[in-house]
Amino acid sequence: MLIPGAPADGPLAPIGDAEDEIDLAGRTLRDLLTLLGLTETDIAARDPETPGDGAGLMSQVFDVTGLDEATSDELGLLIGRRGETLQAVQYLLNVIVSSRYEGDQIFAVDIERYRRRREQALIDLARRVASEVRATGDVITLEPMPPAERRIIHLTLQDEEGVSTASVGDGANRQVEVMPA
Amino acid sequence: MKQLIEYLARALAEHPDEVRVEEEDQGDRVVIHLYVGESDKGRVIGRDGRIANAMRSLLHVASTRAGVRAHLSID
Repeated sequence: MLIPGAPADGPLAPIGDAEDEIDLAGRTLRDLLTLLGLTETDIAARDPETPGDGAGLMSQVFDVTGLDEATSDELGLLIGRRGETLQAVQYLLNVIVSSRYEGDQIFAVDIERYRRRREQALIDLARRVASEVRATGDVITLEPMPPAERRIIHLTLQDEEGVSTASVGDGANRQVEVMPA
Repeated sequence: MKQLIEYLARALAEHPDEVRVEEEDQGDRVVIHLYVGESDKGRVIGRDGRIANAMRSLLHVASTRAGVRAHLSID
């Protein structure tokens, strides 16, 4: 079955001659994009900068961007609903790298700055909710979020006067509560 | 789609030579059958099926781009 944009001849074999973890991660990510027919893309590795990048947790961030507008649109499919497909790409990449190397490096993947945009939205939400909690004295429970997103809320509000945060619930239903301090 | 799953399974497996992938056209959908060595099953399925589900997410991207419905079966 043909995927538009994917070459008929490969890549067939996983990277076998990587120089190190970053090399393996970057080249594997490139292969996955090629296999999905998303060849008109750029991958740039950089240090994590913000909590949304996983600063303090992640070794490197791979920024995937489209080289043209059509590809940028197509990359939306690889981000998926609420970033779930992006998360799957990042997870598989890390499982593959950690099965080849003993090291403890973890890599983040961002696509079309999705994580950066989501982070800013979460920071804005956290600040808005914090002022409401301060004004009303109510406890506000946010919608369920994955761990990386909850972490952004906690970090945004850790130095905020008059409020504190906690995570409640299990698994996919885990939510952040913002309460008066 | 076969290539994508084959690539991922070989990257995850301890014995990539034992990885075999077949594409079965069922008319309204395509079933991708993945066969790995017995000792590699855990490596392609993962705890609570997490690795298999991540592969299914990428297969969904591939099949959507190809304009078909696809299902991953680990046999």
